[in-house]
Amino acid sequence: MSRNCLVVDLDKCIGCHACEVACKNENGIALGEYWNRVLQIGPHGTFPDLEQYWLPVQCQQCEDAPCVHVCPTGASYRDADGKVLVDKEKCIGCKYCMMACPYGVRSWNAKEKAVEKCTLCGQLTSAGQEPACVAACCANARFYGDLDDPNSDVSKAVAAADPASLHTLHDAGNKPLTRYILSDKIATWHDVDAIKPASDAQDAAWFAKEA
Amino acid sequence: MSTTMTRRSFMKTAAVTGAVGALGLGAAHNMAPSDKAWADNDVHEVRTSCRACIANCGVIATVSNGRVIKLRGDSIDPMSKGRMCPKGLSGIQALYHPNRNKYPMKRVGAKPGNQWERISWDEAAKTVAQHMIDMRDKTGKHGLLCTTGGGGNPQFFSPPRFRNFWGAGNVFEPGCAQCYLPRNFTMPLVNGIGDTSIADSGCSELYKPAKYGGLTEVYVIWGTGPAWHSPSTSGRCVAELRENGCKTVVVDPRFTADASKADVWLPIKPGTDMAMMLGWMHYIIENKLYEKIPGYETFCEQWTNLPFLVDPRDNVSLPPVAEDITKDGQLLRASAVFDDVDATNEGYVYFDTEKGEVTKAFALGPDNDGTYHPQMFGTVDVKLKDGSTITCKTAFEAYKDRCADFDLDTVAEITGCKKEKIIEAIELYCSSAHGGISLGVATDMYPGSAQAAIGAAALDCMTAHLWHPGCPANKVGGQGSKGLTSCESTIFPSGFIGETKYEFQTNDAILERLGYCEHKGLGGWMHSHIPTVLSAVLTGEPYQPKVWIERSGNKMAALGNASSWVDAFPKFDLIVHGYMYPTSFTTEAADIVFPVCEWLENAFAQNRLNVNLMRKPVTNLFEAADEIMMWGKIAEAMSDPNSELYDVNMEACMDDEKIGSPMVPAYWKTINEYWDWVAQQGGDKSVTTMEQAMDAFPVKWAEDDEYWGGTTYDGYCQVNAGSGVAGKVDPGMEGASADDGKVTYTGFSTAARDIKDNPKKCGPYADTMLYLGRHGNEKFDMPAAVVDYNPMPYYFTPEDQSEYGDEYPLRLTEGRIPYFHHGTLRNNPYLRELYPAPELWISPENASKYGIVDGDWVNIKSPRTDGKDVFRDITTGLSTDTVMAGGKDAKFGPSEFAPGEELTANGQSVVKDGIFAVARVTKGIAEGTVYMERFWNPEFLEDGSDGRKSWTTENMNVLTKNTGYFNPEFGTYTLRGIHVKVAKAQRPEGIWYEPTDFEPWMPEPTENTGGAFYTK
Repeated sequence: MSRNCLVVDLDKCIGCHACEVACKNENGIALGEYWNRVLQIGPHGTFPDLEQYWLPVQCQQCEDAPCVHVCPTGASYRDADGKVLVDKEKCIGCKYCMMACPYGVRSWNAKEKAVEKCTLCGQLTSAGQEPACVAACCANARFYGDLDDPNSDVSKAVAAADPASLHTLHDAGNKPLTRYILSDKIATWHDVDAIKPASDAQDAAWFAKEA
Repeated sequence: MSTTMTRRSFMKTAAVTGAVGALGLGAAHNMAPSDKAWADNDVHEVRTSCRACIANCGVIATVSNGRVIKLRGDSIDPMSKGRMCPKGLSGIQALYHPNRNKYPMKRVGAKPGNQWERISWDEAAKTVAQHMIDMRDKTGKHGLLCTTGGGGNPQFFSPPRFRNFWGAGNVFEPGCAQCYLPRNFTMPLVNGIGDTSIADSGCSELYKPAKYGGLTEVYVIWGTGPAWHSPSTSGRCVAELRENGCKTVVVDPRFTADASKADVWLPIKPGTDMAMMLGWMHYIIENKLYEKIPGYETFCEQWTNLPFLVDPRDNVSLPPVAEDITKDGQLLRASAVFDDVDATNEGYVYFDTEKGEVTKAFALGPDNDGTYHPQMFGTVDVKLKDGSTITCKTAFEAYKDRCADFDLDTVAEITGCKKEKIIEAIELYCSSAHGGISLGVATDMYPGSAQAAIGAAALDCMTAHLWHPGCPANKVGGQGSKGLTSCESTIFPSGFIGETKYEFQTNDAILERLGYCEHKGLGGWMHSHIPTVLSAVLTGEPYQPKVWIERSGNKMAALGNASSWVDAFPKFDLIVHGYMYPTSFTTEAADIVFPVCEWLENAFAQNRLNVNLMRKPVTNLFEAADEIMMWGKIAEAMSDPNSELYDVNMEACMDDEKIGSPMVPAYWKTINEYWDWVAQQGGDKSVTTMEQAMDAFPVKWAEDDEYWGGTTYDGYCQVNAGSGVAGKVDPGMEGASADDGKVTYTGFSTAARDIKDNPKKCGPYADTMLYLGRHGNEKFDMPAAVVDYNPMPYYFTPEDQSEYGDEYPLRLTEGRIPYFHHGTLRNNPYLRELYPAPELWISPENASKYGIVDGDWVNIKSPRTDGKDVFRDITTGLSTDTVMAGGKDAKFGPSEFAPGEELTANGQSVVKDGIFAVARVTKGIAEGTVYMERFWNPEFLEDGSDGRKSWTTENMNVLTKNTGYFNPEFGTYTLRGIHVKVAKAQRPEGIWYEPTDFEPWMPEPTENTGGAFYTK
């Protein structure tokens, strides 16, 4: 088993949304559906002493993944490599997993009537390439790899960071793997604990992003 | 690789079914016949270069059976390092957009309207030619108007090139005087190096790999947003600088991505940049920071023109908006002081403290640099050779006087920034010479454009942020050892770099350019003054523009006070539009439409530091062609001496021998010939065809060690034996070299054109600009402008504030977002999904005052939408020879100094309901300031829609101001710092907003036809 995931350096992230478009291109995602969104956090503080950062959110590859637990058909599963994935053939569209996911990163594919989400671009990584969002990332802020492999990009990024700058999304025991790097120099980390799935949101996706 | 690796590709080659049929223009089906026979499952990669904005990042396109199916960054590009931004990543959706202009079209219904009929390229070109010949024979050649600007991927100089060949007429783009030209033209005349726009010119030094050391230590990001204007190139670069420890100051009304990562953020009130600059100068002079820059303590004294004496006799005329500023004019000429100095060895003078006398300034060299002891401040009594005595200030003293009132308490009040933050910013800026200011487009977008450009460049000169390791103002790059060179396939107009053998235009035709004599900086790009053109169109004075050829993005979204143009369109005999898609301009104005290419279809040789990229025709659709072919085919239609449509100039411009200049190639008859020409510009002499170039490029023409190791820092004190070759400035402005065998340093070359004995200083006191306004920069002496081009920056209150500030209390600024470049890509489904409607940023205090909460729709109005500030006659009575006013007085007739009757009340009434945006209530903008970026709604060009709504609903450029004040140097009008009022409103009907609304614009892949004029 490996612990493959994305790590995002928010000190560097410039909120350009290239990762969102790259993801949609690579995976042919329909309008109104999202596997990866960039939330703007802030500005917080008192003008003009403000803080703000951007938080790209996609499947966090939880070690104890609620989506896998609640799936009645085994469509949400963990593969031999340890990655949380969706087998759409088995998905019956009950959306339990969308409710169970604390991060709103599961997306309802209206055309195929199935739930889907970030696959870590297995079709690319299996051919030795980076996930599309990592390759496009304009600020060199996104990393992909196995946290158990000290030579992976993610392990190196985590090792280089001040431990006080390492964060995860709100962990209710599900143990998200994705690490976010944010130092106090840029902004104070905000625990964003309820992110609605964009495709279920009332507002246009763009509005749902302000967290 | 295999296409099936993509889980679900919308680009898969399944047949497209059903007609597009949404838009008159796009009515033809996207499936076009092709003779191309593709081998089954042919998948290959083409290494090309993006042009979704002006950054040109390296891109690898995957092509499957003739169709582009994937884009990713090319890591050979040392500026983008393989990264790609949302604009570039949207290239496939742009390429295969169902509403591409596919064939030439002619209008068959009324204007405005959207009924078109397909015609041939030949018929389209001949129609334009017929109108041009008729115009020439009836009213003269000067009736031609060529325009650009607003996005797309053109050859930048096509419009002035065509106009110059034709021999007369006008050229404009809404950018130019309002976007980049002021900095591009002014900054080299001040700092002797070049402009420091990271968005435009590259600031190559900032991209230096860390292993070469001497990195940028302090970087002032002033009115520019690298993270969002070009995320993959400049955004990436600045992110890396910050990672490497560079300290940043961001001067921006918005709390942008770069601001949120800065060491100091100065949330400046729009339009007050010059006050901030004068404040920085005040503090720097008061605290003598100019002599405390670590390692460069004597730079200001030794290498700037600040010790030179100012001639108090010069009765400099002051701008109408700032008639109370100090009256220091041109620098004193040595010929007024010394008997042995005349026009042949003209120079500047200074007072030498060691010799105790006024001395002619000289170029420093190793044998004389110990003898230069200039007085920096105060006044000097100078005995002139006519026997009289005058009291002269030093230029630095003149600066001290100019900024005397700008103590930081005052500056804090004007700019809305806290005094302590301003001090922190200045101290940081002066803590190291390894850095400097990148001035962005913000100041170019209001009439302080020249003043701010002088100010930023002068600050960098005073504080030695010039030509040292880490400075944005620098000269970077050594030579490679492979025999290859840097490249770029820009095509120049005649007269831009040297003259042509054939004389295409007379001096009189140059003088006739509308607004040029008054605003001579426009000559930098051979452009005219937009408001003067508009007034001429509406009044017929001093002459009537009649044929308009426009080849770029949506003018209605890009022109200031856009609705003032509505009444201008019927005045033309013919209006032509060349673009990739229909825009509001097409439906409002065009008679003929030419289909031009997306960047994935175009060719261009593009340098990126030590790598040469080649934009390649990855595919070519329908009958679209590179825009260069539109101009060429119109010219060709008039090139046959046996045709009724014959013009002798147009014959000459089809013939390289007749033109007689290697810098000015003739038009090409086939696209293949043009592509081959582009391939030949790639810097590799062995490559002569695009076919070869497909494999030969990209190429790294110098190794990193050769390139970065070959950079000459501090090159101004490089010993230069007698040749006098100096800094990279406009060759026309360079003083003659002192080729008298004297051993000198390279120095800077910023002297006015009459200075023959160039002391080679950088010129924060912009004597160069003052001289330009009085003489111009043509091969002949031009009449002096009515208002002098002041040699120092000055501040003035934005006109909207003084005239309408009570009723329109909020000051509006613009600024980039990562999704669009200029007017482009508003029809791109993934990008509109991300940003479906323009945001209006408003502070919580202002929002609460107007009853607005986050996410509300709001209505925005300005004095232009409300009929209070209507564009007026500024041309009746102008001289027919020079197109200049007799003076500032109304007795000479309407001019920009004394506007006459209102001309566009009817057009401006079209937008009387104001425009709409979504409120973003945020602390990221100061109370009293609001932000909104340009927008337009291509959905209103779909069948059955009211096309006019495409530019009247969400387009902030109906709020902006083209009604004057125009600054003297460039005639810049006001796009930022206008005043508006805001009220809660309802979402406007008919706009597309929900993600699935954009479904009709999802791409419809189509065959590679080779495009128009493809012969192989």
